[in-house]
Amino acid sequence: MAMSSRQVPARHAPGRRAPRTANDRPRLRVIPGGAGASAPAGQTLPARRVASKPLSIRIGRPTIAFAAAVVATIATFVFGLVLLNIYLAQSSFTLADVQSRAQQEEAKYRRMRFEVARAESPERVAEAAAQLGLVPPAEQQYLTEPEAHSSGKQLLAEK
Amino acid sequence: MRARSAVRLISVLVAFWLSLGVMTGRLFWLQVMGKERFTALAAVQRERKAVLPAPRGSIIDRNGADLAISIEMSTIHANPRFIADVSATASLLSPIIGVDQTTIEEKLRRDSGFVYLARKIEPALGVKVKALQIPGIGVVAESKRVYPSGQLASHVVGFAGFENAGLAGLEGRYDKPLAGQAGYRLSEIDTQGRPIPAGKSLGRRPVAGSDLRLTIDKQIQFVAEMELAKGIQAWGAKGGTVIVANPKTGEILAMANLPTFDPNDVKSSTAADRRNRGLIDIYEPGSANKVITAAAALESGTIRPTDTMRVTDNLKIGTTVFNDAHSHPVWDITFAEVMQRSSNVGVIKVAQQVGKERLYEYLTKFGYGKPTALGFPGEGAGIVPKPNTWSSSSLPTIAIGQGVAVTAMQIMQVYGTVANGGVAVAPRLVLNDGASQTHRVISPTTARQLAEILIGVTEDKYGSGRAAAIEGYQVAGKTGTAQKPRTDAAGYSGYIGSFIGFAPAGDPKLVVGVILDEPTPIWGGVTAAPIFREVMKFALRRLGIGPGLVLPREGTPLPTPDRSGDAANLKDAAVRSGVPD
Repeated sequence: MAMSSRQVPARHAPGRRAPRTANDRPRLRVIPGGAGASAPAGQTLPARRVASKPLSIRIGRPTIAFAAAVVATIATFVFGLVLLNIYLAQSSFTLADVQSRAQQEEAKYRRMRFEVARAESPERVAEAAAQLGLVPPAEQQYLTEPEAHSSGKQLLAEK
Repeated sequence: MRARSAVRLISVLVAFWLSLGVMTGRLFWLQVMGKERFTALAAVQRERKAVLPAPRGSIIDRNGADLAISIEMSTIHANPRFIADVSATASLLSPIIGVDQTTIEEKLRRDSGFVYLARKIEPALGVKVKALQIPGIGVVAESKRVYPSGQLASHVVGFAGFENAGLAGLEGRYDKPLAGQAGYRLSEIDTQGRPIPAGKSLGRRPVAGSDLRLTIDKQIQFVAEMELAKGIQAWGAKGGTVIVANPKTGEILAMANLPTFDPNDVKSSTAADRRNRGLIDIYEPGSANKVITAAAALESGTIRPTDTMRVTDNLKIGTTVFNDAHSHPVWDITFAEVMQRSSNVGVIKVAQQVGKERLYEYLTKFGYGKPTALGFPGEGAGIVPKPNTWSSSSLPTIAIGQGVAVTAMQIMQVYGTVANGGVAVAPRLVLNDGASQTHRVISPTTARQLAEILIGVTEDKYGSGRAAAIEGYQVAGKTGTAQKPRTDAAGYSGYIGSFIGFAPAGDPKLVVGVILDEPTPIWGGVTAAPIFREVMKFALRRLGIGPGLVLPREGTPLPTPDRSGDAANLKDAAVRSGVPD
C-alpha cells in the first residue's frame, strides 16, 4: 500500500497517542535478507508492513482559520496602533495650533483693552470734550423732600 | 587534523567570550556606573523645559478702568553662528527694528549662540522681521507693562521694571500677588525641536497674577491732578499734593502729586518727580494742627466752644514771643472764634491749660509719629518729640503746628477722624484687601463740636478758609500756613500752605486735603483753599452727594473786624509775626 503524502507516521503526530494493547501491537517477524539485504535476482521481496492501521493527523480548515484570525488580529492591532499614532500626531498639531491661536487672540484682546483704556483716559476725554465745546455744568440743583433739612444753598442765601 | 580544529574552536570561543566580556563590561559601565551622567545627557538632548511666564495682574481703579496692564510685544533675537552675511542682515533689520546698523553688526559678529537685537518692540514690526525669513533671526513674544492713562495716579500705581518686576508704588508693594507664579512645560522633542506627540510631557500651569482693584476713582484723580497743576501754576509753588478720601471707609479716592512722571517713560523722570510727596514727605502742619489741640481741650473739658476768652495779638512764653498772623486789638471772643480766626495766641492759651502730656497723647492718638496702615514703600512716620524732651517753648509751638512733622496722609487721617464722628479709620488704597481697622479717638460730641467750629472757617465773614466754601454745601475745614524747615536744619526757609476739610459737614462723605510747597502768597486760605473747593465740588457731583444735613453753628457773633482780607496785607502781617497762619 502506497503511503499518502498527507499521512505522517504516528510518532510525528502531535496530540495524544492512542493506548496500545498487545493485540494492536504489530507482530515481529523475520524478513528474509534482513535490513539492507538485497533480494536475489528474480525474487521480489514481500511488501513491508509497518502497521496494520497507521496513525495520522489532518491539518484541516479550523486550524487555518485560527491562524488567519491570529494574523488578522495582529495586523488589525498594528494598523490600529499606527492609526492611533497618526491621530495623536494630528491632534497634537491641532492642539498646538489652537493653543497658538488662543495665545494670539489673548494678545489681541489685551492690546485692544489697552487701546480702549488709553482712549478712555480722562485726559483724552477732556481734550475731546473741549474740542467739541463742552464745558462742566455751572451749577447743580438738588431736589429735597419738604421734611428734609434745607439745602446749603438756602443757608447761604439766608446769610 | 583534529587537534588543529580543537585549537581553532577554542580560539573562537575565547575570542567570543572575551568580546562578550568587553561588551558586558561596557554595558555595565554605561548602564550602572555612568547611569546618572548619561541619563542627564540624554535628557538634555531629548527634553526641553520651557518656562511659562504667568500673566501679571492688572491694576484697575474702583470702577474697573485699567491703570496698568500687560500687553504682548515682539522681541528680536539672533544666533550669530547661523548668520551668513552679517552686513546684509543688519541692513535689512536696521530700518525695521529701529536699531543702528553698526550696533546690529557688532552683535551679529559676537561668538555667541544667542543675542538680543531688539526687545519689546511693536508686534507689527515683529511680523515684518518674521516675513524676511532670515536664517538665525528669531522673533518671540514678551510681555510689557503699560499704563494707558500715562501720568494719572502714577505715584500711587508706581511702575514695573523692564523684566516686569514691580519697583515702585503699589506695583512694588503688591508685586508678589500681581506677578503670580510662573509654570513650566517639560516635553520630549525630535531632532527638529518639535514635540514628540506620544512623548513625555510634564509641567505645571502658570498661575496668573491677581488683579488689584484700587480705591482710586479715575475721574476724581484726574480732576485732583488738573486742579493741583492749575493751582501750582497760579501760585508759583514748587509742588503739591491733593488727597481725596472717604472718612467712613478710609478709601482714598484720589492722591495727586506734582511734580509727576509718566510710568511708560520712567527714564526721562527724576527721583524727585517719582516721589509720592503725600506719603513720603513730611512737613510741619501749622494751623491745620490746631484741630488736635482743640480736640484735646474739648475732650478733656478744659474749654467749651462757646467759652469766651481774652486774646491779645502776641504772647511771651519764656524768652519766645508768639504772635498772631496779624496785629489786632484785644479780642474777647469764643473759643470757636479763636479757631475760626486761627489765633495762635488763643490756641496757645488753651494748650497751656491742656498740658503737654495730654497734648502729646492726642497727637499720637490721632496717628502722628507712625506710618499709616497703607504700608506704602517709603512712607514717612513723621516726627513727634516725646514730652520729656520738650523745652518751655515746645508746648506752644506744637499746639500751633510747628515743631512736629507729619505726612499729608497723616493730617488727612486727623480730619477724617473728626469727620467720622471721632472714629479713626485706617486709610486704604486697595479695595480687595480686607476691611480697614478702626479705633475711637474722640467722642462723637467732641467730633461734632469740632465740625461745627470748622464750618465757621469757610462760612464766617472772618473765617480763614472762605475760599473753600462751596455754594449749596456746608464745608468744614482748616487752613494752614507753616514755616518750612531748611534741609540743613538751620532754621526755616519758605512756607507750606494747606487746607484740609470735609463735606457735607452735617454728614461728611468726603475729606479733601491740599498741600502746596512754597506758594506765593504763602497763605493756605488763599492758595490751597480754592483748589480744595474745585476738587471737592467735582467729587461731590461725581459721587452724587447732595447737601444733606445742615449743622447748627456754635460760637457767638463776631466782633468788628480790624484786619484787611487782602492777601498782600496778610503776607506783610505774617512776615512781622514770624509764625503765620
